[in-house]
Amino acid sequence: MTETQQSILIVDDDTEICALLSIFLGRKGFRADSAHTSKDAEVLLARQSYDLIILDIMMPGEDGLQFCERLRRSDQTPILMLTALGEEVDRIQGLELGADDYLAKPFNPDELLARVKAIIRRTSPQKQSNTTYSFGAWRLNILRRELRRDDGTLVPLSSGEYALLEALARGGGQSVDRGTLMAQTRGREADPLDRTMDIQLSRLRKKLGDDAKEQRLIKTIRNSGYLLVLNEGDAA
Amino acid sequence: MVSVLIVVQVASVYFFFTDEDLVKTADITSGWLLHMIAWTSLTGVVMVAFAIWAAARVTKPFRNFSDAADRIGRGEMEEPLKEEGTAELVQASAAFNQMQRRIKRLIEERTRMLAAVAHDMRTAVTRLNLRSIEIESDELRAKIQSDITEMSQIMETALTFARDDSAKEPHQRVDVAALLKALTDDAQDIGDTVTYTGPDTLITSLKPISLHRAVQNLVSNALKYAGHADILLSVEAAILKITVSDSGAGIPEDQLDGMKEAYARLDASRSKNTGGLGLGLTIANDIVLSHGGSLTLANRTPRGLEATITLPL
Repeated sequence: MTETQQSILIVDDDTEICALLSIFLGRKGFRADSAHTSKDAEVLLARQSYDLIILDIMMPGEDGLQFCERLRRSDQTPILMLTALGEEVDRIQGLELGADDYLAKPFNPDELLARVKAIIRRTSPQKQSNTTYSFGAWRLNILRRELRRDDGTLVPLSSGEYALLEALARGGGQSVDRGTLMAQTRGREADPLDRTMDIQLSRLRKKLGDDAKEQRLIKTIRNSGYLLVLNEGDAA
Repeated sequence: MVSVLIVVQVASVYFFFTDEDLVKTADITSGWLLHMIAWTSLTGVVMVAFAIWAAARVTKPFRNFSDAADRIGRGEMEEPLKEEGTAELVQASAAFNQMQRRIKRLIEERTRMLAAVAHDMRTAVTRLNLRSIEIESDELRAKIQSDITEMSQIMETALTFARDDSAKEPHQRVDVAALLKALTDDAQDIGDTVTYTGPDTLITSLKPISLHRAVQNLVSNALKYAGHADILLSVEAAILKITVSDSGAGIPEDQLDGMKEAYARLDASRSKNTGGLGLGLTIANDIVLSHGGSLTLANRTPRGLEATITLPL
């Protein structure tokens, strides 16, 4: 995949979790360091740079949210926030303070690995991406994972539809290839004859009111992939 | 209202008979008698009016008192009652305020305890999850990981119930048809048999996260007991109706009412194979109530169960 070994900083007050995560990530080809307080993390960050920081919110002293906010003033290292399930407020706050993604504790290790890879993949080529995109009469907020009409009405999407739409929006008005979209929409158990993406795409078009023939919002680019037509100002 | 009318009537009679021309022509005795009658009735009316006013003055604090008790009963915590009025009322208000403080403290303690338990449990389960990777046997590892998943689901359900998140979630404009379709699609994507029948779009104001959870709970029950769930959305006369039905065994008629109670389960043995804490319906019911709606359960003919959420539009 990559020539150089990627490095991850784990910040969690639970020493056992740090140790177990380091071993797990080490086996998956990453180099991991751990810190148990935000102070320790700063010392390590001053010494070297990391490809990703895994940051727990609940820590004694300065908590993960405060640290994330302070860090973002000078540092753009991607952050994966570890939150408690159901605590919506923490999640949104974390993302608004500059975290790149979140994962609820207790998490499945494979899920963590998938998130880690996804964040590194999307943050390495270009820096910080947008948090909201508008297209047609729609607005997508990727922090809140919400699709709304122009009048503010929330239109809930299934996980598959959402993943597809987010990947298309992140394309910034450029064509996104089928392989990338498939990687986003594929469930846990990958199907060799993957029709999932096509099903998700047709459902999504229906919800957006985008005619499959006219393709005003999602255009099929022959031999290349798909493109979401963003409104002026949102295109890259 | 009635007393005011009587006062006006009697007063007009009295002034009519005291009119100068009438007094001159009327017999003195009968004039005197009329005078007396008018005076007596006027006094009586004034006394009745005073009594009504005084009664209202005395009962008003009681009404405030019962209104406050009512609000607390509905879960709204509020400012302490003013300790005023008669000595008994002052005493009752003080006792009431003390009770309210105690309830508030108990709730705060419970919330703190839950947060602490939740944090420590999640940390331990996270560790367990990471440790499970070390298990070499694929079969054993898969089984242990599925146990861990079930454990954390039970824990999160109990916490959701205890935290009562739906009370805090604000209403917002939502396409409820899109919400139900998304729920259906998510279920189908993981291989469950769930169908949706209803309009493509239906915009209304509700609490999207909570309502999603309520319907999800009904769907999970149907899947657990019948292996499939059919969601139906309709609107009739400003009432929104979401029905989740299955064709499983249903629930014995005499147990239908009790099913919405916390920790109630069809098999009283709490046997493991049907799983769950028995909180799904209770949480769904709480959520629907917080929308001002109702949740009803009914058996279908020839077989199956139908759970209906009705919400005012």
